[in-house]
Amino acid sequence: MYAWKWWRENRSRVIVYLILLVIITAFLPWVSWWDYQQGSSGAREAAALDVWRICLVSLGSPAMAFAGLGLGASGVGEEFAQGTVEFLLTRPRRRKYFVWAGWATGAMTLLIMVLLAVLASFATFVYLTKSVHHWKFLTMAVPLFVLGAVVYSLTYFMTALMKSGRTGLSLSLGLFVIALLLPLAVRLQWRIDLPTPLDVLAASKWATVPGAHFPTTATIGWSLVALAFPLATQLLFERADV
Amino acid sequence: MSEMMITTDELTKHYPQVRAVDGLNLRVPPGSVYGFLGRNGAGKTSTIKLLLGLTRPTAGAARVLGLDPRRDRVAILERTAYVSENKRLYEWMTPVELLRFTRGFYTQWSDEAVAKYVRRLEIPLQQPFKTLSLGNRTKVYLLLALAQRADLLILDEPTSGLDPVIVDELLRVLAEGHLAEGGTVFLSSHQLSEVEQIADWVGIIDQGKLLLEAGLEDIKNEFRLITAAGEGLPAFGPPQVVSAVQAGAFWKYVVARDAEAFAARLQQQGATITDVSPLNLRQIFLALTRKEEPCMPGNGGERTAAVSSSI
Repeated sequence: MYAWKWWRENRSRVIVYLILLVIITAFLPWVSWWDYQQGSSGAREAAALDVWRICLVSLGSPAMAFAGLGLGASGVGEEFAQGTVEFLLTRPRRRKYFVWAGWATGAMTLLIMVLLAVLASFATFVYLTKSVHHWKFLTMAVPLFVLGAVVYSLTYFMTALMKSGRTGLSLSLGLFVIALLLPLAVRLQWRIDLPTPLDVLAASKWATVPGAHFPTTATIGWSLVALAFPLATQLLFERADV
Repeated sequence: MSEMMITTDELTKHYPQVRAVDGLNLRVPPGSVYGFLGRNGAGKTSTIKLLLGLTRPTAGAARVLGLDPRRDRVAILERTAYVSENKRLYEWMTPVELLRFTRGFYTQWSDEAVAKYVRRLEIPLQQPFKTLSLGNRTKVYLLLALAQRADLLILDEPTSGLDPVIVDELLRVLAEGHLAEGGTVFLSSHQLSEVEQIADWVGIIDQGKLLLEAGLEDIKNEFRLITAAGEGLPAFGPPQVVSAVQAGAFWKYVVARDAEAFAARLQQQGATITDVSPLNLRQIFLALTRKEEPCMPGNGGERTAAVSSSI
């Protein structure tokens, strides 16, 4: 029931966003098409792949972060701001049901967005190059999803913490920017590598560059971070006075 | 009597600035309509939130349907329907969507009841909730509660802001529906006339403390205001004296029972009894909760009340 309510509440925004995302990502391989037409066969394919990868990562990561912010801000914590939390929490379900049902529906939406975007892009690439050899490119969905899920889960938690989607979104955006800039500053100042959510994007190289390593540790680590936030939301929600 | 629907034992809820509920001891019998009366901010809503497990007590305990709201919240909510004071529901949903959303939570949900009350209350089903009048919003909220076929219906100020016609309609629906099926109603309100219309038990709360809990018939039949003149009359009475206050040359006592015996006792102390009169709910409520007059301790120090000079 709660998943239905969540979907009914967000579907128009999600569908419009999804359509835009798919159109743009489907168009991206055209950018690499010019590269593909230059040079020898092997080199031109590699160059086209690289351009395509860079375009998709450059566009896909902020797009998924943006989607994560929006979806997270419409999470269960927003019920406080709407004044409907009293109604919701007097339905005979455990509080954690609402936390996880809301989170899972948003995460599923995010996953579908990523898959459709990457598939659309891949389909165009296959159409242009008449080559299906680069199926590994489909795994680009993994880093994009993990990145989006981290932002989404952080926003979901902050919305519950602040009992407002708007405040939660603002704080989450601030924290995410800090999480990106802090490791950069530390690296520049002290040459120490701190983990950053962008580490997962190295997976895109694995998809296209021969011999590149898949960032397993970063992917698992940030996936766990993404899962920790709804867990924290559950703990918060179960103790909240309404 | 069979097991109480609601019992609280020294139930207490303190917030940093306020003691919302302060050692509350309630007993709500099954099949009754319990009018839970109090002024604004008396602690009614906080008590209800404690009963529904929406907030946790600072001290004390509550049992709803024999269950502990802290541990058995879901089991309580399966058998308890609630109409909240704020009447906030999802603004974009129509009543049809609200019914669809809510019915999935309940195993005892009754579509027959929905059809019956939609007709009876003339609820517009296709309009978004945000466009409904307060009266229709209340009707939708009540419809959602009645369709649950709950054993216990908790209503928090259900009629506030409504016109008398709608109030009368809602009370009739309650009487014909939930009560006719043997359900229990816990009705929080400060609309005394409505409570008097349907309640058979009354609890009066002020500053988080229960000042009075009695059957409405007992109040009508037994409670008396004794007005006495004389020197050195007692400010404290036996346990049945709910309140006592001096107003000019007179002492006014609200007595829960045995008024004649207490009047006789005053006469033995040299008092002249000028009046012994019955009290209605409004007079009792005002006597217990008005603060313009200096409060006097009564009834073993547990009840603090003032008798209004208007009585």
